[in-house]
Amino acid sequence: MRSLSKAVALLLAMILMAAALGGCVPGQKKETAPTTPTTPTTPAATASGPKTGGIFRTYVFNPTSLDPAFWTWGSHITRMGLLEGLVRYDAKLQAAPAVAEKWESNADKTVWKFSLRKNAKWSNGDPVTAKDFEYSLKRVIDPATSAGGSGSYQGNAEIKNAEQFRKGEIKDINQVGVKALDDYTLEITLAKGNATFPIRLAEPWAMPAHKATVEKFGKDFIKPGNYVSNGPFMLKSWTINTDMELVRNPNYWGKVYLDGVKMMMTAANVIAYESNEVDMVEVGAQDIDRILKDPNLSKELTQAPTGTLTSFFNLRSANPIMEDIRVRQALAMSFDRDKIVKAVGRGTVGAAYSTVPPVVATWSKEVGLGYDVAKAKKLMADAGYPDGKGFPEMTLMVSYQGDVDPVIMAVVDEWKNNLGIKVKVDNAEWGLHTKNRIELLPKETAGFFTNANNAGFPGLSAYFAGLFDPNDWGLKGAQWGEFRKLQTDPKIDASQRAKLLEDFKVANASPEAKQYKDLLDKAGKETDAAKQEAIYKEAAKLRDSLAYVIPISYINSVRLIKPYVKGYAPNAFLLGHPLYWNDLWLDK
Amino acid sequence: MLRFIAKRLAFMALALVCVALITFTLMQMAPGNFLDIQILSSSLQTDVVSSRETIGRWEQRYGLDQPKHIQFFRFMKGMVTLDLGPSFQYPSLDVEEIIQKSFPVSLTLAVASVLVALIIAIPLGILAAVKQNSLWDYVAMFISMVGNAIPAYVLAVFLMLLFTLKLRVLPSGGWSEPKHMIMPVLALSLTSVAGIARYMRSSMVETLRADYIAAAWAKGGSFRNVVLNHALRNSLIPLITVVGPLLARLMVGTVFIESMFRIPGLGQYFAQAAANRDFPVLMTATVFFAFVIMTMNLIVDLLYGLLDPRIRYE
Repeated sequence: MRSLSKAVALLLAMILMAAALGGCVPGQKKETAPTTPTTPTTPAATASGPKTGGIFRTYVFNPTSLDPAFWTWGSHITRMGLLEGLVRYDAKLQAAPAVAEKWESNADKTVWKFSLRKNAKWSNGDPVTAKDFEYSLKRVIDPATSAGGSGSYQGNAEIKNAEQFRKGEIKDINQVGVKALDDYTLEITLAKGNATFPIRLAEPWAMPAHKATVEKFGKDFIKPGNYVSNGPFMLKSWTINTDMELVRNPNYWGKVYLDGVKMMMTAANVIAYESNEVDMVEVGAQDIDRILKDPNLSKELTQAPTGTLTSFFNLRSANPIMEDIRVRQALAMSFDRDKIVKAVGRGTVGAAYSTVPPVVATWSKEVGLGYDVAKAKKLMADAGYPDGKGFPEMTLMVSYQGDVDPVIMAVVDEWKNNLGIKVKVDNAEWGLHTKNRIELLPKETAGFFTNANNAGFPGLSAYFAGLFDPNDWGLKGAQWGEFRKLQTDPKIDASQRAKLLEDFKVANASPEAKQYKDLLDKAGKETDAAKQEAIYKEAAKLRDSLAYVIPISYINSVRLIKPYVKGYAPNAFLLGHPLYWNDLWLDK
Repeated sequence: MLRFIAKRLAFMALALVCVALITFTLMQMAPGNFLDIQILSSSLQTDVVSSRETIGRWEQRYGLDQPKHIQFFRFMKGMVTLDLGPSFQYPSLDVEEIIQKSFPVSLTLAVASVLVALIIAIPLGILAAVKQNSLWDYVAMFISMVGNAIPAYVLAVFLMLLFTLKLRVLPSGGWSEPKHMIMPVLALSLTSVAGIARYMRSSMVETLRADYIAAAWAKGGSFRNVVLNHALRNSLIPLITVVGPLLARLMVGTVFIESMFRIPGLGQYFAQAAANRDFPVLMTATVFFAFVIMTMNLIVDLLYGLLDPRIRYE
């Protein structure tokens, strides 16, 4: 009896194991390429027009603050519906009136006057005035405000005396070029003429903060119950790491269709979409195949390019091997972006031919180095490494949780096959990675690191102001060591340090880097948009030819959206949220 | 007994100071710091003038410009006065606020999970012990072992697939209604059953062998009286040694479950703080966890002394 029961137990155990494993075996992988998900055309409004009501549910990255003076994931939330700036983005990402009804400038585009509407109100009934914006902009410019984190002010907005105040050269904040002429007129003075300045005021740093609330509650002003907003929505509740809920602001002057917006946080979950808990969710590469096979889900998938670029950035090393432009160009030209993106990316990424993404420039492909294995091989041979002989093992520093991005591994593979070089992929934890990649590395470590960058605003000039600059990335190893010393020496006073760093870069700039800087200065002064674009194109071509930064791919926003969500237009902004939540309405 | 407690508390205080010191030292040695991760990595400019210039102010605000031993003393003082200053990552939240709001959540999750685990594991253990070496025994122990072999977050995924996706009866996450507790508690409890069940079983087996149990059988006691009344009571006592540490572990170590189900517990804050080098939260949470674990151990020892008259503490 005992041995029988033992046998039965064993059999039962095996059946249970088989059942458990049977559920785990992945289905046969089909080799066919997935059909590209179509971007739905924005449907015409139904005969009755947009409907009011309903709560839009979505996923966001965990916001750590809702203060417009801090740059966090919360900055996107404030911009999309809690707060409203003087200017907003229209569907073509051009400046459209928001709190400001109109604006004008002087002849050389240095002084801008904004006329505010008279019917804009805060959620507590207070009128929104030019004084609110003067207070808020000065607050954001003042570095003391964000001394608890990364400030959101963008120096390249070039408001007069802002940088000098931030560096401590000017002590009086009233000398900064922001002034309320009266309750409904705001005058902003710039350090340099900029024909397209108004659109900068649609960014998160230019959102207003309610002065009385900030003064009453201090850092607690962002908490639900305290928060006063001037946008289409108000903050109803917020549990960190869990969810946040916004409700319609009855005092908002403009149109709001939704009753509210509910945001979930932490890991975005496609299951939540399938169980009808959210109306929109971002889809990762691991879910795409499954969704494309599903007859219903595949219809709800949309895909749109964004301006977020993944690139290789030059590591600074005691080994001068990467300082040879032929080596860098060979690396840039020897992997087939189109092939990799199609085979490995499965629609989540697009090929980046240059460091200026197609969403901001039609000539994106033109200015890149291109794909030419024969030329790359010749360049390597000229540099002294025919077929990679004698070339040391190159280091690639990355930081991915879990497996390294297969797109990166595919590039490494192509380098091995086409150029014969070996690459060591160093996948480190993010904190360690950010530390390693800015140091001057020893002889054995030369190569690149990867990073994804998104410009603060989806305009052409944003891809030049401070991004991918050869004046930064072209500093040679020995120079970089000195530069780091200047950066980290505690004995140097903060206001002096900025000038020292700037002077160092100017003194050590290569002729090409100087030329690049001159082109940017010229573009900044140019008021004719077409001429300005031509100058940027030249600068991009120069920058990409130097190959200190090698573009790989840009991220596509791949989303599942319920068919009853209307008014959503994919945009080049960070990862596919709607431009503004009050554009949306629910057809149910 | 009181002398025992006093000695123990003194030892705990000393141990906590050591934990704080070791954590502080390790954090200074760890590569990467908050500002590099937040600011420098996002802009990638080499001069980053505006940000570099605020670093001095930032360090001043958080007292990071002080010498290291001053920083440590300030922290220890904050632990005593329960005023630890703001977190790096959440500048509008003080560290004690974070712990105050999120620890009860983790505590609730842990207590519920242990209770459910006990409800399942004790009968399982009794069954296995009473029907020792029979089919019941093997099946019961096998099921509990399977639960133990599967990590809680893997089980959580299966539960979500079943209850949220296929059956559509439970939400995928959140923490505002009782039904939000069901899947996380199930995931945590089912994976804790094995330890308790096996301990219960062996404790019960040993008790059932005792002379006084044989005497109870001989006196004509029913199954209910002998097993569930006499034997069970004495078998439960050793279980405390397992349950105490389990409770402590569940209170501090549920990061994956919290993240998956969007539960606003301390585990998530702790994991975020580690990744971001958020020193105030990291230091405080580490010392707090050590405190929780030591307190649980003390409670277990005291309970043991109360329940088992054979044990006396000096």
